[in-house]
Amino acid sequence: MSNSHLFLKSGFPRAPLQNGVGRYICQLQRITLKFCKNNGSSRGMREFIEKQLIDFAKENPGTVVYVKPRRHRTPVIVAEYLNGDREWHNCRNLSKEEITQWITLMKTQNGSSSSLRLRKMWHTDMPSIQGPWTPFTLKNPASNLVIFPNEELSKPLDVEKSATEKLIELFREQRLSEGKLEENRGN
Amino acid sequence: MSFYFKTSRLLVSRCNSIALQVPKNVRNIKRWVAPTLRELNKRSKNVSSNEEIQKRSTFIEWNYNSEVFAFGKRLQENFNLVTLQRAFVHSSFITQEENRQKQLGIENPEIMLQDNDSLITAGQRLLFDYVTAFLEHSLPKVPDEGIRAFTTYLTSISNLAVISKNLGTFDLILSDNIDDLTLANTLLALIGALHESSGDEKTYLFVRDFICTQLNQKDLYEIWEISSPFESLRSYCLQNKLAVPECRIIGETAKNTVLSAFHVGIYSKKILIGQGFGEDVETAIQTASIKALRKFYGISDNMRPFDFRIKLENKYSEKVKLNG
Amino acid sequence: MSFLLKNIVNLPRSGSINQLTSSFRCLSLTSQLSTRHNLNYKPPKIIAKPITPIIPQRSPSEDLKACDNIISKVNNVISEKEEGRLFAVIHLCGKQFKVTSGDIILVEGYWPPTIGDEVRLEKVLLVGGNDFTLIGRPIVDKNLVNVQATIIEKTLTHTKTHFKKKRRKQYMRINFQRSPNTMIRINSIDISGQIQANSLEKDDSTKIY
Repeated sequence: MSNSHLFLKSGFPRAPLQNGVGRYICQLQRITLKFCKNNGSSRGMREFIEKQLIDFAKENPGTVVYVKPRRHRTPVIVAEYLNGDREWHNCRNLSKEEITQWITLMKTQNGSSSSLRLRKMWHTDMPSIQGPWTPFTLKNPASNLVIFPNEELSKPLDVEKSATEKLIELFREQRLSEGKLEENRGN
Repeated sequence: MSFYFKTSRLLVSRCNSIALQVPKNVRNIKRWVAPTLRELNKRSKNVSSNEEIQKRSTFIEWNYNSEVFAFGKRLQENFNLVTLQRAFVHSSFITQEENRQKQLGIENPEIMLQDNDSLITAGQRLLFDYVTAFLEHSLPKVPDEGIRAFTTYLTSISNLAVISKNLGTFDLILSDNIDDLTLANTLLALIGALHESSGDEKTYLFVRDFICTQLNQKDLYEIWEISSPFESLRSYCLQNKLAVPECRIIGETAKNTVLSAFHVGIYSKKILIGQGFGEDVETAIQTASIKALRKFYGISDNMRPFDFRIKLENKYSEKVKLNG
Repeated sequence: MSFLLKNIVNLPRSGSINQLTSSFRCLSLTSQLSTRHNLNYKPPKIIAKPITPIIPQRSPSEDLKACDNIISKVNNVISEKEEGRLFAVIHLCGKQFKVTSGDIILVEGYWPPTIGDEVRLEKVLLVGGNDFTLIGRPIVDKNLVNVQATIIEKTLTHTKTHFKKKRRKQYMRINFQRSPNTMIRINSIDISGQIQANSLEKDDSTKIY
């Protein structure tokens, strides 16, 4: 089996610099596309650069795009983020559409996400608004004046009826119903 | 076992390449060994590497002008590019350049750059004004002392440096060395530059969105600690013509043990104004008076959250309304 | 062991057992142990006295009055803007989150909104302040509560490994997968307008929940 998770770091959801509380800032600082001008594995990348790169750069003026041709090497995307993260992605033999998808992913994330396992899907610094419960919460103030040991308060809260008591009750009910029957007969 | 022990010891002593020898009694090497060694190797390399981190500006793919342009656009501001570029140039960089040129034999070195000193001073004033205005508007009941504490926290060098770094100024700064002070000063210069290019409203929004938002979900009591709370509460009550506060124990448990807890309420004219817990009565009184004071100042735990969407116009109009 | 047993047997004598509830007593071993080992032991006398729950009996008109009173109090708090920090339980993509303004939540799986989008979360199951809680049946009125949020990140999870193996069947499959994640920042929770007692009885058969 794969051992890739052995040293995977885990963490909790955080956003850099309270992002989104004020205005939203795209965290992708710069992106570098490296490719070969004549190798087949860079075909998709070349197509992307020819057809979509200008639009991408116009739509995202906050991201600096560098294009770096190099001979006989695999095409690669390198994204650099405001928090200092650097994500490297191999684009060998990828089509134009696949490259678009990867670049969109790099644009929309806050840093390199593959290196962190999230332990929670929620983050707050204010876990309780109505206050945590304590034994004193909603306590009757009158209980402050009670002197212990107190017979009334020492009793258990729920006492089930004993068998004898149940029998007595049954007996009484029977007597009552018999009485009623007799009354009916008398009438 | 001793084999693994040995390898790990080798690693600790910063050995980068490890020759794996399969010992006699062990049939196979466990599958966790290779990734672990790889990871340890990586870490030891990171620790021991003496190479200086290459500045991003020394890379081939680096264009300073487009970086500066993108910086402005990323913050969704329309900076004047010349002013923005000036905001990144520190005076130390200019003197450094002059010295270098002199060393090369140029007698009258000419550097076509202006430093950002004036922008920094302007930015400092603006930042202080806007932060104070925001806090005074959001926390109307807090005394000046508190507002000062919050302003000091927000405009502290360490706080500004973190913000500045996360806005991506690090690679763009022109200075002889980059420390927290340089980073913070660059942010101040940016505020000055923005005021020069876009005016009051935009600058205020910048300060609100990047500096004031640092107070989001922060415990304000950690920033401003009230000294001698009960005395402060008493003087507050005197000033505001409330009855003198009285303390009463309203609950206690496990008295005379290590785990004792006291619940104290503070009353002013038989009205409960605060309650707190403590391991002894004195602590409980302190916590209760802190609670009461925070309630009076409007900065209790469940206070109304800050409104980070408030605009400068609204505030001015409200002020005018109040005055009129 | 025998020492322990002795201690347990001695427990019922101490009288502390009196304070346990009967259901608890049924669960405990002590009563069984005590009958078996200590024949002289007599169970403590329990006087059965059913405790009537203290619920004041009120007529429907009085109930309505009390209800109106509470609602007007809550309305008063809201109109004076003294409700403080609000929290809400929202239903989003099949999950419920308890949020307050400034929180971060994550939606797992495919979800169309993209970064920078400002959305309003309409399925609010519950809103609460310091002194009151409004519970929806099943959701709080859309016009009453306004929960605003911003999308701040859309990304993929770390690589998850799915490994299957059947023993002695020469069957092994390994799959790697990353699913989309969306990070959302809650900007504000507001109660706009007044709470009405009869708003609950409105005809909401046309609503899609």
